Amino acid sequence: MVASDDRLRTNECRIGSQEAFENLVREHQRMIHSLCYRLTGSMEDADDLAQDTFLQAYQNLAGFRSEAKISSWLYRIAVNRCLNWRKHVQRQNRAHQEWSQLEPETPHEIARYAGQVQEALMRLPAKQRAAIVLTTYDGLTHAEAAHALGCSETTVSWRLFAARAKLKRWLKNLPQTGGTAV
Amino acid sequence: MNNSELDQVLRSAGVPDRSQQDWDQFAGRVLTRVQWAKARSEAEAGHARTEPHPPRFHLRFAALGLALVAVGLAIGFAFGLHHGRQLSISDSELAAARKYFQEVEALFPNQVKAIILDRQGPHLVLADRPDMPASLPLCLKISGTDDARIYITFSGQQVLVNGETCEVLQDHQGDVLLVGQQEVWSSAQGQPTDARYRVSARSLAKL
Repeated sequence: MVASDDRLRTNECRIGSQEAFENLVREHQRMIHSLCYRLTGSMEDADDLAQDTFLQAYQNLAGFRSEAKISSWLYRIAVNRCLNWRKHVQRQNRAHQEWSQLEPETPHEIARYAGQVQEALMRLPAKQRAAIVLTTYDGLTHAEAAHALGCSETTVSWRLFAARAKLKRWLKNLPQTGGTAV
Repeated sequence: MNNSELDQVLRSAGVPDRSQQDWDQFAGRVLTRVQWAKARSEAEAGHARTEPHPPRFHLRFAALGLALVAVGLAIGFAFGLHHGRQLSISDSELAAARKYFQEVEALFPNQVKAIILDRQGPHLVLADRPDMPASLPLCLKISGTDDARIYITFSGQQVLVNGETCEVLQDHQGDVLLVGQQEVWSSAQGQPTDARYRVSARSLAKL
C-alpha cells in the first residue's frame, strides 16, 4: 500500500507536478536533514547536502523503483552524498557553538552533551558512522541499512559492531540522559 | 556500557533545531534549484542548437517562472498584494524583501536581475551569466487597476508594467525613476493624478 502511494506520488512528480514534489520534500526534509547532520556534524553542510539529495531525487525520478519506499530511496541518495562529502573541520567545530548561541533557550549543558556525542560520531570512519546513524537514530533494520549503504547485511553488522565498541569507549563517562533527541 | 545504554546515550543527543521559518523556506530553496537546473539544461540544449548572438539590452533575460509558493516571505508578500490598494512599502515589507533578496542572491550570486512578486507568487529573472554589477537593489510596488506587483530589482533594469516595458533608474540623489514610452514616474515628483498605475519605491539599503 505504501509503495503504491509512493508510486502515485512519484508519477505525479515525473509529469511535472511541482506541488507533489514540494509535498514530498516537506514530508521528508527533517528526516533527511537530520541524517545529513549526523553524518557531517555541520548544519551548513547538512543544509547543502539535504538540498542536493532532493535535487538529485528529482533528476532521477525515472530511476525510482516502484516496489521501494520513497524514504528508503531518499536515504540511499543522502547517504551516498554524505559519504562523498569532504570534511570541513572548522564548520564541524563551530556547529554546536553556533547552536547554543542561536538558541538562547537551549541549556548550554544539553548543547555541550550533544556536541560530545556528535564529536564521537565524527571520529568514526564514515561508513561505520552511517551504519550507526541509520540503525540507531533512524530505526532502519540491518537489511534496510544495507540497502541504503549498498552493502550486505553482514557488512552492516560488522560495521555496527566496530562502531559500538569505539563509541562505548569514547562515551563511557557521559551520563545516559543529556538532551532530547530530534 | 551495553548496547542498550549506548543507544540511550546516542539518542538523547539532539540535532540542533532550526526555526520554523527555515523549514518553511527549505522546500522553496529546493524547488528553486530544481527550476534552475531545468532552465540551465534547457538553455544549454538551446545554445547547442543555435548560434550565440550578442545580448540585447532590453530583454536578454533568462526568465525563470519560479513558483516559490512555499517561501513564507513570498506568501507574506502575496497576502499583502491581495489586499491591494495600500500603496506605500512598509518597513516590514522592505525588511522581508531584503531578506528574500538575500536568499535568492545567495543561490544565484551576481545573477539576479529582478524578483517579481504578484498574486501567482514570486518570479525570478536571472542573467545568463553571474556578471551582474554589485549595486544596491530597489524595491518597487506598482498597483494597477486590479492588481499589484512588487519588483526587487536594480537601477538600469527593465520591468514590464501593464504591458509596457519600463526602465528603472536611480539618480545620484537616490530618487527612483520609472521610464516608459508613454509615462514617466519619479519618486521625487510623486504620482500624477491621471496615471494608469500607482508606484512607490524604496531602496533596500534604507532600512
